[in-house]
Amino acid sequence: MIRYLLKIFLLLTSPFLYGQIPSTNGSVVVSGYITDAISGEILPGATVIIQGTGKGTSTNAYGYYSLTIDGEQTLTAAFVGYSEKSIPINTNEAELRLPIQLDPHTQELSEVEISALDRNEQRKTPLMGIKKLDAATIKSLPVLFGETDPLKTLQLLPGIAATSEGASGFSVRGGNPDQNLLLLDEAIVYNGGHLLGFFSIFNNDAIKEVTVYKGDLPASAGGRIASLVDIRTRDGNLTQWQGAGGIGLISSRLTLDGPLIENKSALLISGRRTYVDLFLPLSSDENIQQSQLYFYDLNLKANYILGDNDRIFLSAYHGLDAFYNDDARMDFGNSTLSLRWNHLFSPKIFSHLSLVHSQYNYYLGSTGDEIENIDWRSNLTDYSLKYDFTYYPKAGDQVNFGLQSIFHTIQPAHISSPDPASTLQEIKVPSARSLEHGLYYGHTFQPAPRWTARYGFRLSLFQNVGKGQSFRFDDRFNITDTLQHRRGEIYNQYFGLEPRAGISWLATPHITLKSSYSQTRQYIHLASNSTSSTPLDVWFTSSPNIRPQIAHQFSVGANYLSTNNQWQHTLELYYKKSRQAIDFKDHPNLLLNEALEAEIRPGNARSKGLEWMSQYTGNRITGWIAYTLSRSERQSQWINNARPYLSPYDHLHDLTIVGSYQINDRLTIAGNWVYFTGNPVTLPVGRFDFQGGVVPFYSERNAERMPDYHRMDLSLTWRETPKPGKKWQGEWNFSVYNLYGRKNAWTINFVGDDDLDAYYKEAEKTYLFSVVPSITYNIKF
Amino acid sequence: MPSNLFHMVRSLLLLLLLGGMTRCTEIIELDLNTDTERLVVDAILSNQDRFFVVKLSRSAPYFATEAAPPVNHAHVEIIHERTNQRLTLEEDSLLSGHYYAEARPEILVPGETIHLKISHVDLKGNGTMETHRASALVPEVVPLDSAQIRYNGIRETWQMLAFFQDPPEVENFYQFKVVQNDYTVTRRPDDMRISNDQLFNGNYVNGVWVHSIDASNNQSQFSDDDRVALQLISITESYYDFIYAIHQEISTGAPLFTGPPANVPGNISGHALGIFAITAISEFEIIFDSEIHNQ
Repeated sequence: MIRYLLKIFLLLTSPFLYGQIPSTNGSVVVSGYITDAISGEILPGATVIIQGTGKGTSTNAYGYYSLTIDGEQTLTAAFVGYSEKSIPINTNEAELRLPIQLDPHTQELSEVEISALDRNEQRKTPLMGIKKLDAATIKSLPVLFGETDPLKTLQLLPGIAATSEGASGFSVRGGNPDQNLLLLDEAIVYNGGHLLGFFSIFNNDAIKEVTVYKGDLPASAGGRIASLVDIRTRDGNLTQWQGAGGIGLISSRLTLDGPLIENKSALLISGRRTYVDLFLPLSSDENIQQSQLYFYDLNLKANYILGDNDRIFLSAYHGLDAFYNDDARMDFGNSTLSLRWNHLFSPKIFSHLSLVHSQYNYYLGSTGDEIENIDWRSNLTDYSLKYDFTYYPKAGDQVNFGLQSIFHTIQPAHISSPDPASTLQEIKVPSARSLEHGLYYGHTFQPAPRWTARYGFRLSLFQNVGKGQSFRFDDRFNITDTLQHRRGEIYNQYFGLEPRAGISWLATPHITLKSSYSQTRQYIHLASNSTSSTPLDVWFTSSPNIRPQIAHQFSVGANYLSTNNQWQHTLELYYKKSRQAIDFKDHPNLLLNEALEAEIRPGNARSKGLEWMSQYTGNRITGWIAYTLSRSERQSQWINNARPYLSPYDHLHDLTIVGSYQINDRLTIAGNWVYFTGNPVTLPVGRFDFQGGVVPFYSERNAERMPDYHRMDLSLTWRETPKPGKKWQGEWNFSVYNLYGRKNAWTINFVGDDDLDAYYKEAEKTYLFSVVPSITYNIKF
Repeated sequence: MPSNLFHMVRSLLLLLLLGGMTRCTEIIELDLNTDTERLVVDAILSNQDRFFVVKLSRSAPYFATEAAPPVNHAHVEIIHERTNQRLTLEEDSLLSGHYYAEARPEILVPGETIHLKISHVDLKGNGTMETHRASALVPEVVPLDSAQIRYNGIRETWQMLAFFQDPPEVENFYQFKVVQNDYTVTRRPDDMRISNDQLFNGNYVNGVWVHSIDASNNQSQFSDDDRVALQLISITESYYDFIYAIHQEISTGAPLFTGPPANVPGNISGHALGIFAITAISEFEIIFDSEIHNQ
C-alpha cells in the first residue's frame, strides 16, 4: 500500500518538478551505506563526490547515499577522521549497490581533522547556521568538573549562549531555552539538564554526533522556533566487543558495545552515575551530611540489519536525578524510547519510520506533620509517529517528504497527602492533551553549475484534544468562563504553512555565498520566566488563548575556504522576528495554576546579529575563533509599559577562542577563552519603607547589565603508551575550569542584617566557581 | 502558589544547589540609578486598631542608610463608602509623617469599601499639590479557635500551630502574626507569613504550623507568664499579592528562581508606592510556661 502511494506521489510530482521522468539510459544508480571499515558502524554525513564534476551527495543520518552517475566515472568518498577512498565505477547494470567502508585515521593524526571534500559539501549546503560536532571534538575540550558535555561545547559556537554560568541550558540568538528542540535519536528531550542544569543528560560516550541548526530548520523538523539540536547515539560495533569508561571527580561511566550477530546486529549499553553523595557525609553542615544527591543516565541502543533494504534500530534512554534529606525528597528525569525502521523501496527511495515515546516527570515530597506532608507529581508524555522519505532523482538532487504526528499529554501537577486524614486538600491541575502534526516537503537541487537551491514547506497542524478545559478571559485576564471538553473532542486548532528556502553559490573555488529564509512555529512552551530553569518548570501547549509562536528568519552569509583547506571562515548576518513570543506578567504564578494562561503576556521578539567563525584544522593544531555581535529585544503591550526591553540572554559582544595542540602522540593540550557582555538585568532605582522593612522598586526591565563575563579553561590529556599484549589503553585528563579564577557574577542580591539595621543594604554578588581543577581517567578496551 | 509552598520549593532548590556546588559571595560596589522621588503610603488598618495610623514617606535611593524621609503637612482622610462618613487623620507631633485618628471599628463592615484620600502633598517642594487615592475592601473575620506553641529541638524554634475552620466556597487569604505582651514580634515584611487556602479550602485546619519564632540564640524571647498571642489575620487578595511580591523581591533566591524583578503591585493612585489595606484579626492568647513550652 505504501509503495503504491509512494509511486503515485512520485508520478505526480516528478514531471511537475523536472519536466520529464528521469531517463535511466546509460546512467547508473549507485547507492549503499558508508561504514567504518573496522567497527562496521554507519557514518552519517560522509560525502560521495563524482570526480571531475563537483557533483555529489552526502550520507543521511543513517549512513545511506544514492547517486545517479553517467556511465564510467570515479567516486570519491570521504568523512571526518577517515581516509578518502576513490572507487572507479564500471558496470552495465542500471543499479549498483556499493557499500563503502572507510578506514579511520590512526591516532597519529588529529582526531578532528576534516578533509577538504567534506568541507566542500558543507559549504554547498543551502542551509545556514548549521554546525556539526562529533564526539571526539566534544571530548577534547576542557569542561567543568571534567564532565564532557555536548551542550556546553555547543555554547562555544557563535550565536549560542549559556543561560547562566555553568548551565547546560542555552539560548540561541537571544531566544528562550524552550525554543530549542532537543532530539535524542529523534525523541524529544524536555529537560536537558541534571542537577539544576549544571550537567547535561547526554553522556558523550554514547554519542556519535551532534548537529545544531540555528533557526534555519530543514522542512522535516519543526515545533520550535530557535533551534534544533539533533543528537545521534552510536550504533555499536558490528564486528567486535569493545568498551570505554572513565572515572571522574563527579561521576563514573562505562560503555560496552559489540555484535549480537556479527555484521548484522549490534548492541550498545552505556551508563553514568555521580557519586557526590559519597562526599556529603564529610560536610560540616548536618543537614547536608544526611542528604542524598545523585543522578544517573542509562543509554541503550540495538540495531539489526535485516538485509540490503531493511534496518531496525531501538534506542532507549533513562535518566534520573534524586535528592533526599530529612525534610524533602525530589526526583526528576527523562525517559525516551525510539523504534526506527529504515527501508529502501528502491535504491532511489529511502524511507524511515519511527515510533517514539518520551516522558519527563518529577516528584517532590516534603515530610513533616499535617499539611507539610506533601506528595507532588508532574508528568509529560509524548507518543510520536514519523514516516520520512528521501528520493534521490539524480546527482545533486534530493527530495525529502513525510508526515509526523505527536500526541502530548501534560499532567502539570497533582498534589496529595500520604496521610488520608490530612487537612491537605488534594489538588489536581487538569491534564492537557494535544496533537501536533506536520506534513513536509523539501527539495534540494542544483539549478545551475555551482548553484545549490533548497525550497520546502512544513504544513503544521496543532489540535487541543479533550478531555480538558479551556478558559475565556476578559481584557484584564480574569476568567469569565470555564469550558469543559469531553474526551476526544477537538476543541481548538491552529494550522499554518511554514515555508523554508535557501540558496548557495560557489562564487569562486574558495568563496561560497548563501542566503536563506525560514518560518517556524511553536505550539508547546515552558512555563519559566527565570534565567535558571528548574526541574519544576512545567510545559504547556497553545490553546484558544495562547496562539502559536511564529518566527521568521532571514540570513545571508559567506564562507571562505583557504587553498590548503586548513582555514575556513564563515560570516553570517541574520534577522529574526517572532510573533506571539511567550513572556509572563510580573510575579506570575506558574506552578499549581490551572489557569496558567492568565499569567502570559505575549509580545513580539526581534533579534539581529552578525556571527563570524574562523576555524583552523591543521595536523596538530585545531581550533576556532567565534565572534557574535547581536541584539535581541522583546516588546509586549503589558510588560515594561509597552516599551521594548532586552532579552535576558542578549549579549552585545560574544567572543570565544578554542584551541587544541597535539604536542606528541601522547600529549594534547586544549583550552578555550570565553568573553561576553554581561546579561541584561533589572536593578532597583530606589526603595520604599513598608512595615519597618525596605522594599526595592524598579524602572525598566533589563535596563542594566551584569558585569562582563570572561573565563579561561585548560586541559591536558596524557595517553598511556600502548604496549603489546595490553588489552586496554588508558588516558589521563587534567583540566582546570576558570583558570585565572575570575569571579563571574551569577546573580546580584541585596543583603543586610535586618535585625541590626533594616535600612542598611549592600550589593552582594554570588559566583559559583572559582578555579575548579579536575582529573579524569579514561580507558578504552 | 501558596506562599509556604513557594518557600519550600525555593529552599529545596537552594539546598540542592548548596549540596552539589561550591557557591561564594562577595560584597561589590554597584552604582544604581535613582528614580524621581515618589510618595510612599503604608496604611494597614484592622478591626483591632485603637488608632487608625497612616504613614507617609518618600521613596529613597536604594542604598540610603536611614529611614525614608517623612511627608509632612498632608491632608489624610478615611472615607466609608456606604455612609460617606469621613475621618480626618492628624499628623502626630512626635512621629513625623505618621497620621492618626481614633479608630472607628464600626465602619469596617465586611464586604464594604473604605477609601483613603491623601491630598496637599507637596513632594517636589514647589507648591504643586498632589492628591492620591486608594480603596480597600473589608475582609471577613475568620475565627481562630485555638493555638499552640510547640518547641522543636532540631530546628530550635517555637512553632506556632493554628486551629480554625476555613470557610468553604470562598477563596481566603491569611496572614499570621505573633504578638508578645501586645508587641508584634513578627513585624517586618520578611517575618510576615501569608497563605491562601488552595491547599485546604473548606477544611478544618487542625494544628497547622503557621509561624516560627527562633529559639536558638535567644531562649528568653518568651518568658514565663508572657502573653503570647497568635493572630489569624484575614486579608484581601490584593494585599496578599503585595506581600507575596515583596517576599519574591527580597528573597535569597531572587532573581534566579523568581523571574525578572518587578514592582510590587500597590493600589495608590498617581504613581505613589505602598498600599492601603484593611485586615480582620482574630487571635488566641497563650500564657507562656517554660515547663510546658520548652520541651
